[in-house]
Amino acid sequence: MADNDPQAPGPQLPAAADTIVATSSPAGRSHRAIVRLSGPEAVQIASGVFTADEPICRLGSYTSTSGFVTIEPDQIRCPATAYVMLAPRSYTREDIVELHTFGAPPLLAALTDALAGGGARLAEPGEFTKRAVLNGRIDLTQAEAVQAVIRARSAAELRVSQSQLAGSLRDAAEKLRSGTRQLLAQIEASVDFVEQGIETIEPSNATAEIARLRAEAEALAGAEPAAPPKDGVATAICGLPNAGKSSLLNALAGHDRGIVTHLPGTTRDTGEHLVEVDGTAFRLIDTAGLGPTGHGPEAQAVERANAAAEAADLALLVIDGSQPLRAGARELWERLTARTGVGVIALINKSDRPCRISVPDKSRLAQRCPVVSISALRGDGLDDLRAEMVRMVRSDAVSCSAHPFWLTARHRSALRRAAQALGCAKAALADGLGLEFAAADLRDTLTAVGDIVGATPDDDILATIFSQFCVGK
Amino acid sequence: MQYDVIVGGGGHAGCEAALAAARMGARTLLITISRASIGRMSCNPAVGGLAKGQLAREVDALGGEIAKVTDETSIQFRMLNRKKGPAVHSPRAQVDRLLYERTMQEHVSRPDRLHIVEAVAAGVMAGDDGVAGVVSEGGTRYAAPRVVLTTGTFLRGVIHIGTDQYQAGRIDEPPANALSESLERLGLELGRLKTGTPPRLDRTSINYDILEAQEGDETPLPFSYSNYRLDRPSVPCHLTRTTPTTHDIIRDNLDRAPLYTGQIKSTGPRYCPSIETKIVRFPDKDSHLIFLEPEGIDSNVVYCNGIATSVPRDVQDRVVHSIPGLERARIGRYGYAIEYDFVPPTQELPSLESRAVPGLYLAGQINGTSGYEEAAGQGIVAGINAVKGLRGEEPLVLSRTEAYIGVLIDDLVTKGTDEPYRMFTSRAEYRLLLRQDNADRRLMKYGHQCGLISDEQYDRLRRKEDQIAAALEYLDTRRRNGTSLRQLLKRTEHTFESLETIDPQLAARRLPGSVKQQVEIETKYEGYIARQMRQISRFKRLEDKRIPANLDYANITGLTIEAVQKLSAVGPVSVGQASRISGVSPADVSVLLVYLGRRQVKKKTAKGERKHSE
Repeated sequence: MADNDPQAPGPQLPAAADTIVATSSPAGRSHRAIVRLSGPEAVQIASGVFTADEPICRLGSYTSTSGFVTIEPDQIRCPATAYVMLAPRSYTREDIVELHTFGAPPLLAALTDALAGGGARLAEPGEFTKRAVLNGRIDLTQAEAVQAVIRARSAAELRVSQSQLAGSLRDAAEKLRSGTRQLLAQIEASVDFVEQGIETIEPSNATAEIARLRAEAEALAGAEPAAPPKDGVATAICGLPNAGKSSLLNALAGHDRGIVTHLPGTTRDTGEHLVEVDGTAFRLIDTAGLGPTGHGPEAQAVERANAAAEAADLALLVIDGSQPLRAGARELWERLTARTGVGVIALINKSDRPCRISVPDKSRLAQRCPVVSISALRGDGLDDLRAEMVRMVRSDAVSCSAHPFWLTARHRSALRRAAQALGCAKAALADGLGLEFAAADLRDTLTAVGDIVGATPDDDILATIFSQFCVGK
Repeated sequence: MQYDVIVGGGGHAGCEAALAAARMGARTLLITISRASIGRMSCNPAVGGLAKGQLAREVDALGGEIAKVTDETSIQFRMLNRKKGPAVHSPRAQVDRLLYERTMQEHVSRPDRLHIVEAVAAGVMAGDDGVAGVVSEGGTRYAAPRVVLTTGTFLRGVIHIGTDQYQAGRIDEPPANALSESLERLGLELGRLKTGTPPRLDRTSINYDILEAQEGDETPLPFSYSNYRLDRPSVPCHLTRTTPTTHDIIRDNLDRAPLYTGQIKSTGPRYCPSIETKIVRFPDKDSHLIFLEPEGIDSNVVYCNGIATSVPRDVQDRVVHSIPGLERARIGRYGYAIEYDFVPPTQELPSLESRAVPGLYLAGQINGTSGYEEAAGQGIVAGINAVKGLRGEEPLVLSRTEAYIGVLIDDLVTKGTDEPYRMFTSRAEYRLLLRQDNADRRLMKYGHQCGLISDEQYDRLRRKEDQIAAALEYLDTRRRNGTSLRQLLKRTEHTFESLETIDPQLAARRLPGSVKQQVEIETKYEGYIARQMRQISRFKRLEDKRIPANLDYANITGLTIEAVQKLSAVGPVSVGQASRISGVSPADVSVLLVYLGRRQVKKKTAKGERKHSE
């Protein structure tokens, strides 16, 4: 590396990189949550939303002040406390501002959005830790220990991202990427092969193509609002009458920490409830609420469950464990597990009573799908169930094809960066700047879209280094 | 005679390497097959062009020769891409081919410390601690602790014209076959490439009346930062095109074209294909552009740029005659293809030093590149680093962020190449900063540190920097109707000159054009420049993470087998370089980072313990 003589003439480089932001407290509702900024502009960006008697830019390191966060467009004004830790004595060795406020997910989403609007970039998973390590702040022997765990889990982690991207989001992102790449290739050819007499791209054509790509990126970014999604994994609760479907629904949705929202008007049916488990949204559908079909109660239940499973991603088959397995239940189970495109979890309910399902029946069940013992009434086994539901989603056993895009804040941020870069490209051409400027913007676009599908280009490889960590840690 | 540095080869890489080494004070020997072919332009009689113009200016900023000789011998100058932004403006000059080589020969003969000997290098001598010298075909041994090889197309060169093939390093010159074997014995792996040239025509036989002329710029700009203006003649090039008949002739004779009969097996440049390749690969195009480039003011030789070929001579005659304006043209020298050995450059450090043979540096086509400017860029770096190595100094390694030369060498030693490598502006991620107009501001400091740029010239640069800074400050503070002049200059309707008309004080500063240009570019493209600067600072983080030499990758748990192989083969000097190796995934990079971090912590701990015990 050529040594940089500070006395030497020539352009000097800025010292630090960009400022990142993320909610760094656990997801979900809580009394208090932390939104953390790290980077050279942390204080300045935080000042854009946080006001107090004592402006935080005048605060010393390791001090705090109480005030308000104000988010203009959403007309939100909430009490908050700002903690300032200045470089180098901070977790990341960069300037850090933490805003402590109510742990209401919509507030946190709006707050991070506002800070992103102020110039911060949404942090990649594990980016605070990554910065801490790369800036020499934390002991790498610890990081290596963590790394061992990460590697053990990486196959599963990979599946998570793959399952999230299995469907049309990846296809759409790839389409956007290849469109951008093709345009870039045309532009580069016009720039680099001017001597060879090849056809060059007309700026007007380039502008039109950029506009098209930008619309595509914006449509993608706007495909669904930020977390929590209105939709979720369609989860049908099936079972014979009196198996305990409604009590399960109540247990999952009614009065537990898992519940996030009951959105009247947005649900397709009054029997639908949205719950969030570990950051994944499930739309619970109570099939008991569907109308009769004119057959006997058991046959009706089977038909209803089938119909519900048609539209569902995941079926929770509730079986009354306090009596031997009934023929209707067996039929239901067979028909559900024979379906493709729907994951099934068998729930042996009423574990508060002696189990009367025969051992051979139990093992047959377990061969075809996961089996969880619960007591919907007492709440036993619900955590196991929740873990199983999330595992089903992450392990790709549940196809989420019914939901075209399942955007995380990271995806959305990447798409917004892409759209923004395309906007710059358009402006560059409109201002009569050369094609090479638009090319620089298109490269930014490629980088941003590449982040979605995990195809990080060379210069952005850092972004994936500690990606196995959780955001904000 | 004891030498410090021996340079094997007197082409565009060899001349720069020899001159740099000698000027830095090293006793330097240039071994060449023929004194008269030093500085020869084996391909077209032109310097510069897209990205290559930037390279030539960078070599000049480091204190090299290519730009100066171009200025002394040019017969036409054009700034390409003038309609586009400053980042892709590229200077290009037609030069007088014979005058160019004579001028370069004269420059090379000047330094006292630079000796020239005519010999064919037959082997590189090396001992346990690295290179020891060069032995000639006659058996003469030339000893030196540093050797730079710039063999061009001479290593096991084979020329093809039609079904004829014979050993040659260049037309009418012998190949260097023994040297290839010597390099293999030293543990270097060799590969094979192909390149080609078009037929040269007799000017008096061309019907110029029906051809479109391409004139040079009215005011030619010097290539070299040491020249302020050019006083050289300007002659036009001419344009013509292949016809459907041309294409039919080629198609009918593919069974005699060595590229299609299997006679030539190695890969040629995709960006500069032979006419037969163009016609086969783009069957829909019924015409390809041809530039007729004069080889000098008084020369009767015309270079037929666009129809490089190795088809048989009778087919070449018919091809030429099927082209408008060339109906009666006589071919003075037939086009030919040449296959030659190269050393896949991933075997080198970013200093261009061989990892297998310490003290041996390689530059130019031996590294798989193509082009005079690419050769010159590597040549000067190899020459500088040979001397720095001798002195025990850190090598000069330019970053991708500061020079096309940096991009070039990093690509070579990190990714290697499987076709002759040519520079393009699109290879440079930060090309908006790597402009032909600021190569001096980017690189002259290094040339000065090496002693290749005089104090006087460096002082001129410092003054220029001061003037730029002062002018920017003035424009920032000076207001007109509440708007700073800097803001005004950002608008498309304004130029530095237009500001001078509205602000007499600015005009009174009488700033040189080069200063105005820099101020204007820095102002008008401020946003883009700032963005590239930010990208660079992110890029540098991984570049700054150094990897110790001889790291045993097989001992690092967690790396994939492919990554271990690739990392061991390339031997990257930084994590950044490692991350650019194909086959090394982001996960591998993270493992590497953690491993290196742990090593560092251990070292620190060890140090602390030692201190403690003292």
